[in-house]
Amino acid sequence: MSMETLNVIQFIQLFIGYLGFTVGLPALVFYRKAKRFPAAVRFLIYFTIGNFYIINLVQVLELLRISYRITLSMFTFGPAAILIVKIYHIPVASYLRKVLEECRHYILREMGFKTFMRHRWQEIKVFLRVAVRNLWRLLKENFLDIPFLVLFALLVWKVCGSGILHNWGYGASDIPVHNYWINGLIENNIFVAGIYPMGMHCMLYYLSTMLGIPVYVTLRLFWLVQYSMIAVMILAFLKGHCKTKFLPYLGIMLFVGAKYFNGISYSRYGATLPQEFGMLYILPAIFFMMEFFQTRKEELEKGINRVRCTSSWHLLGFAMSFSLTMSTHFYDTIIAGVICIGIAVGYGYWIWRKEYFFRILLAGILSILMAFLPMAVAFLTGKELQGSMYWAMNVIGLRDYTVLIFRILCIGVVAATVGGIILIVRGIKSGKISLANKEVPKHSLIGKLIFQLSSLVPLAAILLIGWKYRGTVLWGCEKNSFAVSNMNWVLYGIGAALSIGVLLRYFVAPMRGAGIFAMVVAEVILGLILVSGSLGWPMLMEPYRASIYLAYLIPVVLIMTVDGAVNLLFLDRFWETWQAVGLILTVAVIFYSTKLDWMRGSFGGGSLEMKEAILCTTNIMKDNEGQDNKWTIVSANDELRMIEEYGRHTETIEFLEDMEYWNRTKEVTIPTEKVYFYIEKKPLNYANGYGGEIPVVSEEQAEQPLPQNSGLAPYNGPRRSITMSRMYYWAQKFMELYPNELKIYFENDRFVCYYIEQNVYRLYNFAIYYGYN
Amino acid sequence: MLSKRNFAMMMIMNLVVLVLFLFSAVLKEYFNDYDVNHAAETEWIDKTDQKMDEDGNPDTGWDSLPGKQQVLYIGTMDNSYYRVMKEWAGYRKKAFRVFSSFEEADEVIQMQEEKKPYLLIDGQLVEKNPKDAAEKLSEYAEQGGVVIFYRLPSYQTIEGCTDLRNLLGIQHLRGESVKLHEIRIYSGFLLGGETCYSFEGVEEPELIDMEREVPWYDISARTKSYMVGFISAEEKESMALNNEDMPAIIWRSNMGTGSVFAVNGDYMEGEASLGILDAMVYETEEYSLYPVVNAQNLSIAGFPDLTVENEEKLAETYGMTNQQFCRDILWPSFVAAAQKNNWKITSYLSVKQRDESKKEPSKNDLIDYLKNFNEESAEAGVSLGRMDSFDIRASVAEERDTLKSWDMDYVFAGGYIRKENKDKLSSLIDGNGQMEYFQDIRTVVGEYEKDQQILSWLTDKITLQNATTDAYRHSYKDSLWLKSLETSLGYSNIQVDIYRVLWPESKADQWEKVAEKMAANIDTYWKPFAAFDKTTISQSDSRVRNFLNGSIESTREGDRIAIRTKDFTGDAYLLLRTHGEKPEDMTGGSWKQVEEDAYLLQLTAPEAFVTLKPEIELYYKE
Repeated sequence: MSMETLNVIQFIQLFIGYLGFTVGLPALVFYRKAKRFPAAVRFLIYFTIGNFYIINLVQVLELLRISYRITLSMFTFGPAAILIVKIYHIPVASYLRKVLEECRHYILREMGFKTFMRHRWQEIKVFLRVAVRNLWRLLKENFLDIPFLVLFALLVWKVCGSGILHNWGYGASDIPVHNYWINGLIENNIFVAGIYPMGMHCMLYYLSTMLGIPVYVTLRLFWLVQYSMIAVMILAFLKGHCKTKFLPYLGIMLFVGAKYFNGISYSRYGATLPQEFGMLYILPAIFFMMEFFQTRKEELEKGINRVRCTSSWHLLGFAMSFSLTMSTHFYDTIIAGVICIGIAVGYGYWIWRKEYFFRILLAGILSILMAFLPMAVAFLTGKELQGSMYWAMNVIGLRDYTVLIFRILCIGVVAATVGGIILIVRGIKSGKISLANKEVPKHSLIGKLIFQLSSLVPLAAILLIGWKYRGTVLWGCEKNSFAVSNMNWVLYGIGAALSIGVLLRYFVAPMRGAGIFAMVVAEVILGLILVSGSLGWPMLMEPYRASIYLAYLIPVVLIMTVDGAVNLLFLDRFWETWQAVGLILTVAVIFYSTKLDWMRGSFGGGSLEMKEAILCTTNIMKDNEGQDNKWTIVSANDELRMIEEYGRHTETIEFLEDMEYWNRTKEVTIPTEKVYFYIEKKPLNYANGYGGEIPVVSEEQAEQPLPQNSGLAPYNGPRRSITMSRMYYWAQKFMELYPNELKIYFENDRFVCYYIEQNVYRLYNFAIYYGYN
Repeated sequence: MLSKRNFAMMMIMNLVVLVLFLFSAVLKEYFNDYDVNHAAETEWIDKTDQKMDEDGNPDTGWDSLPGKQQVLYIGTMDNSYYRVMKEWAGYRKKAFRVFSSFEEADEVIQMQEEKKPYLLIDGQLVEKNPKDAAEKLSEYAEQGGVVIFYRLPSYQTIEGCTDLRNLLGIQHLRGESVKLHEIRIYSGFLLGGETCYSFEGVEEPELIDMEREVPWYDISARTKSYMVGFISAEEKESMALNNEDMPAIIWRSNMGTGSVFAVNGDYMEGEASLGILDAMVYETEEYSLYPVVNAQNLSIAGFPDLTVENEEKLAETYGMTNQQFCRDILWPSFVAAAQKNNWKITSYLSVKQRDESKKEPSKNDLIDYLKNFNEESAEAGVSLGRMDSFDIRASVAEERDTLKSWDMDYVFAGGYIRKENKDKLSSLIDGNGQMEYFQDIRTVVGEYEKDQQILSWLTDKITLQNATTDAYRHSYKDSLWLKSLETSLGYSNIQVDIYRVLWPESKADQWEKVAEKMAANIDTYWKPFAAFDKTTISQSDSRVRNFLNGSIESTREGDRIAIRTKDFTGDAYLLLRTHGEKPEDMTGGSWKQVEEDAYLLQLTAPEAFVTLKPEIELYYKE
């Protein structure tokens, strides 16, 4: 089997596994509860529940140190089965009684085997009928979407397929660290390197464990699952928000395929990184918040003002999604927070009313508690903080107080959680918290006017700031995020969005208008964050990170605006006509984008390690299945974390260093049965960090002094060539001495992997004089 | 009340059952052609005329380099190594040249030959000028030569000569003598897998006959160890030593493209040399291919005894006569032991075991035994001479006359000779090189003795297959020798001495003592060699003749080994040893695996081709 085929198979496994556990299983459980919502909203509900449950399940089991495949399966399928029985009112007890009774009849020869089996077959037929009926309903509901979904899948494969097929390494230099942390989860040692948001790590660990795919493979391939789902989140968000059915597809096609985005703004999607993983939860959080406003308004208009209502569920969805951003990466929380500011501005007319505000406040607190609780428990039970926490505190000048601050925060989180639960229970018992409907507050005309005016002030202020620094923001945008021939088009676009937003907000659909305002404000703030360094402001986020979010929201704002425009064009009437206009617009843009070369080139996958090294590692792990820690790879350093759970690793530089200045007393032994040596004949330019051309292995390179063993130093630039040349000539000499023992495992013109089998009771001394040491 | 009809039915049923049971026994009896020795029906392969070159060494006629390769023995001829190393060179059809000093051999060593001879050196001969010898040998090895120190120079000599230490790959010397706790032979060297010989806590200390004290050399880089001594774990811990620091016994020191092998101690004495030399050659080659016998024999000497003898002693010991004892106790035991591992028995009958015995032998007993042998695919041979025969010719003649008088057609193809009669064996040979009294005898099995050639031509017509093992005893040296013989020859001949049981001198000779050991030994120690065929002595004889006559040459191109054989009649058996490769395809024969990297090839044509493939192949391709 070729590695390309294996990559595709494993990618499909991961994709189906991720969708199955985070969407499929919740859909199976909650379909009955969620079937009143449109498909896109249902998708977001299932996705949020699935992700929230899995990430928190892993964290809880890890904290209890009982996280294994069996427990994960038990707590995945067990509750799902119980809920299915409960939600669908399946009469399990009576069914079992019936089957047992039939068994008894069969044993007593009162019923034939054929009859018994016919009854079971009839039950299966009923089940299949229900399943097919629902599947058919789902297809009927969305059949017009299928061509677009196929088109989207093809586009994703066109842009990213070559990354999966041809770039097999890690896509970012910090992935080995994440690999290490996930390996910690395998050992039931969460926060192995200190406390840090572990959402992505928990999810990848879960998939790796449940699907039986090694962690390093998930880290190599999950980026495309993640990227596809980030795009799907745009689709679901727009489908949930827009009135036109097809324009959202234009949004995701733009996001995935348009060449106008700067490479910086999407290149990180080519690696499995927590920041990008956390982006999965930003738009669901924003969607649920916007839906909350819409639903709450409708409920209040109908006189519904109780705790248990649809809007509260939306708010819970927001809390869960928001907590997931925090559980994954704080930058995502910052961005979700920025968009929430946009929402506060856009929905300013409603948000400050107590019937909205306190619920939102509670949801916010709940989301923070949910995200921080596992970290707080770990911290209070003795886990150290991860280094980046100190770095973050250093930014605000409180490095020395990091532990103290975190201790206070963690105690606060635990106390608030426990206290909150006690208060709620007591409140319900004493009747102070009532689930009954309350009277809907009425607002006077003056009050409404004040709300209207007060909502316009921050909007105007932010737009004015944006206008003031428009030159810098557009420059930053062009440099980092989105570039068109005339950047003034961005301003025209914002102007158009605001105009359409105003028209919608005040004349047609106030909530959708407010939504456009919110997203425009968020984009303006993001633009300012992007250039904060250039403006001399404190830099909240590096431009290369901020640009990703800015670019991410562009298709959202654009499609919301176009959708609003189409909506306005027909004054919210003639549904079929505006759907037709949306369809024509979508198809036309997609068609012309291919004609006029608007398509983006391919990207993704990792080149931080040679394909050959991944090929050998994969084969070595296959060859040594069930032989954990009986083999060692001697290589640069990437394999260290990849194989940590299966074999041993020795760094090339350490191996060479131990036999430098050779004399007879030098001993280098590796205590495993098999030892594999990776040597790059044409050394890798690690992360393209070296501008020139790295020399191939040669005697001239081997004659140079051995690079210092300091982090990645011996593997960067020309030093990598020296290291590899030394290793190459060591192997040549060793092979001369041990021609029958040292064998070639794999070789091509760029790379060679040698291997040797040794007697573990009498290890080879690899320290030989090879002419350069 | 039983009716007549029912009674009749019952009787008929009983009759049917009776007939069915008897029928099989009758058929077995009827078709038992016990007076034919099927094993001896094979073609009688004559000895091939061995051509000699101008130096008096065997000339195989091959033009290829391996065929021309020499073995230079540098050492004295009065030690136990000389005979066996010459025997090895003979088996491998290599020219064997002897030099009594290193200086004598120096000229030959300096010659720049394309295929350098194997140097078998007695380390004691280089003690006069170790530095000079070490320098020359180092140069020889660096140019691709193979040097084998079958005995190391003294500890003091090694200690005082850096060049010699460098040659031998000795990092430093830890002590002149160390008492070993155990010795390990690692797998991949001799056939039979890894073996541990422990000197402490052994249930039968009498089995420990291996040298236990050796000089302690700590070897390091460039070396590979095959046999290593270990001190106790406590000592090792207290001295903060690793396994790699343990005293090396057999190792290889790599120099340039050549190798220097060292044996620390007397472990190459006797037949152990055969396998160790082959294993050393294998270690220096890309692959190793050489003829083997492929025969495992179980020889029961002095069974059955057809005359009632030693009555008093047997009655006292076993409570029965030797006839009863042989029939009721011994034969069932042999059958049980043989069936367990598919052994084929060769039983050397004796009409009588001592000249003094006066009773008449029983013809019926012989017929019964021959029938039993036929059923068990066993073969009957004859004993050549009796216990302490005064006149071996007279004894053998008497036995021949007795058997002849019984008018038996059975062809006795194998003979057994006790060690006290070996010297007189030549007196039984006639002018044609055949046995005077038993003309059908084509092979003679000599009683088990240490330090004797295993396989040879007794005459141009008769082969000698000496017993390789005593079934009642499997000491550490026996174990090492067995591994060695299987590695080198794929051959063993287990001797079960019934004379000892029928003429017991002490309790240790009694059957209940030795039977247990016999069963355990042949069940246990031959398991790793199950790939080799179990044969009777006549079947083995054909293979031995082929082995002694035949020679092979092989060449490798890429993954394909071309094999040509010469002077083999019928199938040739070869042992192929590889380094991490396995046969993928073969024309002109078939193969089966003996163990990892060792394959038994059966060549059915004079030319064969074996295609090898790596044992490890990439599962996922580029």
